[in-house]
Amino acid sequence: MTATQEAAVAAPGRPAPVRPPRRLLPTKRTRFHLLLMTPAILLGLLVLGYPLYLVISASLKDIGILSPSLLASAQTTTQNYKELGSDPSFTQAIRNSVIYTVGSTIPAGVLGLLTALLLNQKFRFRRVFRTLILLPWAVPTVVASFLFLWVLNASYGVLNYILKQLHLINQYIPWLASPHWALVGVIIPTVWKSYPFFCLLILAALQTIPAQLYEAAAVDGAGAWARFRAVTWPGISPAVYLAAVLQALWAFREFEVIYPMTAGGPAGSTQTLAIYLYNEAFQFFHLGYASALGVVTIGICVIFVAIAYPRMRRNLSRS
Amino acid sequence: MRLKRLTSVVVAAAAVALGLAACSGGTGEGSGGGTSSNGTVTLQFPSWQATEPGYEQFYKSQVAQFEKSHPNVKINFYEVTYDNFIQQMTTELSANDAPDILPLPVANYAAFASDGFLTNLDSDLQGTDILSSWTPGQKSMQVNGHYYGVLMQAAGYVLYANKQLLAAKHLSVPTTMAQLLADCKALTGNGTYGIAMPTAQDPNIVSYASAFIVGNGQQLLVNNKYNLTDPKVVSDIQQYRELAQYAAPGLITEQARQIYNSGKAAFLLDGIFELPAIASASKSVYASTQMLKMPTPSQVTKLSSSLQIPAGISQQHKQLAWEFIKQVTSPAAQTEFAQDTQTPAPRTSVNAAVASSIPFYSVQQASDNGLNIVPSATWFQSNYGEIGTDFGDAMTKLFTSNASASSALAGLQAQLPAPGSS
Amino acid sequence: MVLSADPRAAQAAKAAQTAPRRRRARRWHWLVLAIALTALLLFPLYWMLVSSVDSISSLFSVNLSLLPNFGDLGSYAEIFRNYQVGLWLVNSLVITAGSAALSIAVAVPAGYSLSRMKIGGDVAGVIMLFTRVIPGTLLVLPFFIMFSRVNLLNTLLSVIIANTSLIVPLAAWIMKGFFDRVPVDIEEAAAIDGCGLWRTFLLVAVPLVKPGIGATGIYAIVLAWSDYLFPKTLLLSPSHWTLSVGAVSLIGEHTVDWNGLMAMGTIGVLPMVLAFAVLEPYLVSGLTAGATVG
Repeated sequence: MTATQEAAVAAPGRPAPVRPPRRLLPTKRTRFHLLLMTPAILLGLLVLGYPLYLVISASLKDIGILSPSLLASAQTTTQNYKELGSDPSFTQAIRNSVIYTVGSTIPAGVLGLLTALLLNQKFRFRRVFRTLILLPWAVPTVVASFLFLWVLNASYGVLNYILKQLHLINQYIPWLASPHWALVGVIIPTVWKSYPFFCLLILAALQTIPAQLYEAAAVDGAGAWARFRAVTWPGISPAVYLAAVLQALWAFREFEVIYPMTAGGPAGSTQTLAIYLYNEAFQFFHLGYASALGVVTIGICVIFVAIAYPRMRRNLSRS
Repeated sequence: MRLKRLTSVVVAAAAVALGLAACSGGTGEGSGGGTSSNGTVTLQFPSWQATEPGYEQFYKSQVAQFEKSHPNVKINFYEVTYDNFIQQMTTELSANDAPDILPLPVANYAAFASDGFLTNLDSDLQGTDILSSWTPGQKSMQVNGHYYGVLMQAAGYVLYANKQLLAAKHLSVPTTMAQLLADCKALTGNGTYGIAMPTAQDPNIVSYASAFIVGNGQQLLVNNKYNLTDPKVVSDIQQYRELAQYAAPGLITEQARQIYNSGKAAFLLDGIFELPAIASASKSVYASTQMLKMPTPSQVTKLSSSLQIPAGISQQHKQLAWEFIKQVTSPAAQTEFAQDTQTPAPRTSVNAAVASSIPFYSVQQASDNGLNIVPSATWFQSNYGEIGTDFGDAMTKLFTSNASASSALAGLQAQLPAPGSS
Repeated sequence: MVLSADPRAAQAAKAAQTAPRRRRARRWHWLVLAIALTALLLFPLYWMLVSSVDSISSLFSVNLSLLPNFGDLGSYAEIFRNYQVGLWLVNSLVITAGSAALSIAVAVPAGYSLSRMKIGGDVAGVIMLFTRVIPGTLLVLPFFIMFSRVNLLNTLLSVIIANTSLIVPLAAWIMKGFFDRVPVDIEEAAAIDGCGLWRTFLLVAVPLVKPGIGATGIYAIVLAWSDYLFPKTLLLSPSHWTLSVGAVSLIGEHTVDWNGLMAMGTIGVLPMVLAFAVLEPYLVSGLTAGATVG
């Protein structure tokens, strides 16, 4: 082992001391680092640059099916945005998006926390269960939604069957067919797909909490709940927060769970902004209006990030 | 060092993966047809029917015939999943990367045509006998007075009946709506249902609603305005609603068909194209299935699919694409179509000769030549997606509540896209 | 149970047994809870398996049988016969491996530079989050146009690049966090030892962040394997499809092969079970340090 590697082994986990820069970085180093960053920057532009340009410019034109030449020649207008103001489906879509996002992120977080706490305990075959409990994360979303289309079926679904067998319900619930239940119906597979991500991040955080802290708390006479509040929660809250922000952003833009199951119905009860956007673009061929909806979706996400990120930073630096 | 070896292994593996990935694209054919260096022209022909029984055989044989008669031309006939077809075609047309031969579900045809993405076929059609020998549905393919596509299949609505289930309850095949309703009532119970129909939000609900309206002699549009508050239309919808109470709740079309194919429903209201699907799903149900005329005063049809030529391709490709369409619409090819798909061909004159190979020929023919459930107004057809969603909303509300049909229809009418809007 | 003639030995042995037995009892109840929870959470996957073998008519019943009828595995044979399932599996594997490899190759250097250039965590984190604000359906058309222009349509490479562009922001941010915890002194020592910039990076810094690379790999694998949006848009020929696109192709206009669809879904889960089982050690320890990233 070289001297450098020995030094690393001897001081694992010691945070890097912050050195004030004595002078400007040497040019050779700067060029080296810029070179290393270039591929990532290019890819970032791919995802952000051209799509954003296309969406924003399309939202300012009155076009049906989009084409770059049509885009260039069409007149610029704010008509699409004006229409948003008087569109009841738009307000309904925002409401649905918020309910769907909050309604799926919170249960997923709770479930992820419970499973992480469990998987952190020592018991036989724990490794097997760690693999199994994370499995829903790896199932292709579109396959999961067709699966749940049958599981939640109003007439023959297995969920209804089991609930009835357990005498929890008298009559089958029309999970996806009734405007009252449909949003709950699409939240179920969303939570199923989301909880492993929470579990993963929280479990990792749990493993960094030194056992001595628990023992010290126990010695001080703290009960299980007090130990959780004093020792566990501070250790995992950065992970919980990070996972919650990422999952909320995912749920808000999510399309592949809801669309195959309900396409936004019945009566628009599961039509989130993302679904509404898709329908306007590819079912009704109002691409200009769809782009305006897209800009609003992006805007809401950006505002969310602006609010959540500083909190997240504070949380992370406290740990 | 171990690390060096590990790094080189990882790098090598990544290189192999990326190399494989790039190679598998071949020449990066893309979706726009091209001309390769040795002069072979390739036409792109995507289709959602590329693996549907009957249609697959027909089109593959037509492609082979065309390639034989045009030695320098290859047609790439490939499948695009039905679920993704419209989105994919919209994307390709928008990106100026259009295929050469474009089939479309007729429901979406008008939107593409009126936005200028399809080639005007008026003069081409005049050079053939298509307009005079085609099923009446072809006339509905006019958008703003011009033709942009050739109808490949009209799909009449029929009533499938499972004779075995009927016989078990000593019921006879219904010829009137009243009889059908009575039969359904007797058959529903214990997990079995009288009829299989979509009862959850589904793009087909507007077709069923229209079938009941038009089949009973009314119209969706009168003087280019919605006619949904007409008392006769209200009672037609009430009839539809009554029938739906004998169907399993919360099903989309694919699930409803599956219910019939599993023998859990005695009747199925659907297009003539469904018969081969029943055959491939369940031999026993197919064996006891009889195809009946819809028990309404008039027969109805809905145009199913058509062939188009996108506007943004080269003149040479347009020419070749039209020659392919000419071949496919010729009497010989149309005969093959009827035999392969076991449905009447749009070229009506060939059907009598092959009537024996088309099951329930007289019923199929009657419904195929029926009234079109979709009004011919271009603005209506262009907005069909939105209209369908609104109808789906209204009807599912009627299926699951006690709301009055007349108020629901009045509400629906207020919500629909304004007449004449684009 | 110790059988011994010596009473004192027996007493000592009994005392030694009681303590571990109490501990073992506690451990057992976690195991029971784990079994119950896993059974509940994986029930949908179990049902997918059942739906792939049971005949459809038996699934449409108000008296469901919750046990599968394993007698008939015909649907699996059929899908391999009627569809190019093997080919689709290979395509999925290539795309997943390629995406993981490319993501790591791009994110690790980027994370390193972000860390060493003392670009505030703010910028990196903010950019990472901002790449997550665009709905997927709005990316379809721009990506199609871009790849069409460079003639990469219908290649697996295009999907790999598309996936990578979605993975790299988060991955680079995670790697930055890991590199932040590698002391600069070590690199300076290496420089004194005569290592150039590249050698310092590859041979000194990178080995110390292996857990982070593991985490990035897992994340990339899961995202690439379950992706449907890009393969369905960019891959035009059925022979280039991935497993998820192929599975959805069983939903035709008039016919739906439900058994086949569920069978393909089941097949699609198996490689992930394998991947998770192999990578599980890296999975959790990999994100350990990353969770306290700042």
